[in-house]
Amino acid sequence: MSPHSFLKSLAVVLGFGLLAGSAEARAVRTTTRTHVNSNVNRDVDVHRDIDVDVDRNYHPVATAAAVTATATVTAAAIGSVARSLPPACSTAVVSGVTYQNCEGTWYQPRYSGTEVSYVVVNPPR
Amino acid sequence: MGLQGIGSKKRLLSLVLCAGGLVSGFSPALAAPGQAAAGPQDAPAVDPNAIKALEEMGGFLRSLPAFAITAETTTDEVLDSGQKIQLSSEAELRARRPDKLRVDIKSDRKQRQFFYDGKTFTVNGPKGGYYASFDAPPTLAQTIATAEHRYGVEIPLVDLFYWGTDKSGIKDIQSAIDVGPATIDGVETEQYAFKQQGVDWQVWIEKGDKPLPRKLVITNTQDPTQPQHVAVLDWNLKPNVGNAVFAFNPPKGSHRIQFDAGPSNPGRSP
Repeated sequence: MSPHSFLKSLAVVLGFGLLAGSAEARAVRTTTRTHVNSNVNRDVDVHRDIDVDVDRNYHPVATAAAVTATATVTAAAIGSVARSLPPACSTAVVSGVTYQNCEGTWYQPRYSGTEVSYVVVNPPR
Repeated sequence: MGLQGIGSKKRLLSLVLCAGGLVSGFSPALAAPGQAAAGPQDAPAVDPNAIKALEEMGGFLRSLPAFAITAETTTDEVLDSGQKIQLSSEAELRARRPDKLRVDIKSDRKQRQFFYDGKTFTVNGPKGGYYASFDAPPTLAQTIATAEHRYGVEIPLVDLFYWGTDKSGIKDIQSAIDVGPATIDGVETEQYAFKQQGVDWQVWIEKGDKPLPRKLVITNTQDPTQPQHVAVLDWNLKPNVGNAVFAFNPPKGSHRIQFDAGPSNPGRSP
């Protein structure tokens, strides 16, 4: 690795460290490439918790950690995106669109690649 | 005498030329140790036999009308602290040219299924009960590219669909080594190692008339911790690839949702 690219990675690492703060012991900075031929670079944007890319209620440790992270991180501003939901939600289908109603805050689930994320939306009518 | 002298000079010249031809014919073999000894700053050697093996493997992959693979994989994730976490997964992949694909991914953390029936590509999460679909192009190659680039859906072992095509990255290879014979799950293979920008990788290719990749190791050299992806592949060249395998029928109680195909990415939001 050239000194330049090392410095660049170091800067990225330090940058993420600052963003993450000290509490995020489970935050991922890099996930490795799984292919050699395609030029899609997935290494750039991986700053997330290790637990978010997990089926809900399927992996006990990860689910608990993700819910804790959501509770502390997510402000329920319309348009904001959460990578996991608070604990008490129910599925609702309104006009063919699927929502999660979490104690009055409405989320619209979507696939970001193979990962489900949740956009905070106005309550449907 | 004079003529003889010229004649022998000519012979000498042609001998020298001939020897030069021999040397240059062997030059990759002769040059490799010299370059290796010259240190990492020099351009590393590309063993043409390793490239040839890749091309033969690619050609064989292209010749298969259908195949099924079960792959055991491990993938490293690097935490902010630099600590590496290894996650295991099993992927079952079934393909039928020109326009059918089915993938089942199972790990300790999540399950996903991909269905491509020639018209529609669907991602299904059986545990979460959500699925999303997009109208797909008419070929495997185009659909895989669309899934990756537009929707961010990572197809496992996607290299299998690039090798042997004009989109393979063989031109990006900066160093190629034939490591030697190796046995993977009882199958005799030859191990090759490659370097390219940001990634070192190795492939174990089956010997004989079916040059299939049996193992793949990909090392990310951009991160100082060098995380790795490892896949060991079990092949079935006569799989069941009836239409039903590739058709998605929403499971009872599941819900259709949309893809986030916009420029925004949840990872970047505060």
